[in-house]
Amino acid sequence: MPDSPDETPSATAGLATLALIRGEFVERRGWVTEDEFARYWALVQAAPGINLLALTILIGRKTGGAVGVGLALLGLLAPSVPITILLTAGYEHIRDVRWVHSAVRGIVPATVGVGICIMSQMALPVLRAARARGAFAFGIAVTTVIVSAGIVLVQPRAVVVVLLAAGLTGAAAAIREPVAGGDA
Amino acid sequence: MTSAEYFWTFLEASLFSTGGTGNLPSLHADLIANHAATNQQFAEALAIGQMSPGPTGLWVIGLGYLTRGL
Repeated sequence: MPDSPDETPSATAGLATLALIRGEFVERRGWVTEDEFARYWALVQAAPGINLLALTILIGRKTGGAVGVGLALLGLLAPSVPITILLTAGYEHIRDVRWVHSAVRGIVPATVGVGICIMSQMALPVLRAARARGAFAFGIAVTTVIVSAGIVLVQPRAVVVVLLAAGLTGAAAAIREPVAGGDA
Repeated sequence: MTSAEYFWTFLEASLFSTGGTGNLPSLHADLIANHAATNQQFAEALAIGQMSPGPTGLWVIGLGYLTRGL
């Protein structure tokens, strides 16, 4: 139980939880490598529903098999679900207080800042790896980032289509790339 | 909106989206159109989701509570 970082209360929800999981499993304990974590995160983008649940399942499976999956999910959800219900119930009682409204509005931009920080930390290893493979791979990676963001900005419901298209683009680009080393 | 329709709205939105708030556009379109939620309730539920620990996707718990109670 104490080994699970998922239990740690995170003030800005998912992104902070993601940072805590990454810090604990990748940086502090080394149970998951940076590349594995980035790969898991990329993989769960295509899974329906909550990314962190899928990520937790992958990390749990890697570190503890089926039991690890159960314990990881328990660690993630056992505290957070009841706390969310209690927070909502409590909020219903104070929702008409003026400063409460202001505080609620202030949390959103703070979360965006944390999100940008974490996403850049996750993107850098991927972009570095692409650059190491050559200018073509780097160009494809950067273009994919920009085009994906643009499409989702215009059409938020197109996330799954964008991810599938990016996967196909990556596969097609890999065929064009010269074979270097045995990293398969 | 019946309870079955309400349940299906959430199920469909989560099934065809990714990420903690990927279901937001679909839920917003369906629940607002059916007068099952207000923009204010969406904003409050999202803010509660940001404040509470764990996945951001748990914001739907707040939305469910605010729109239909326990």
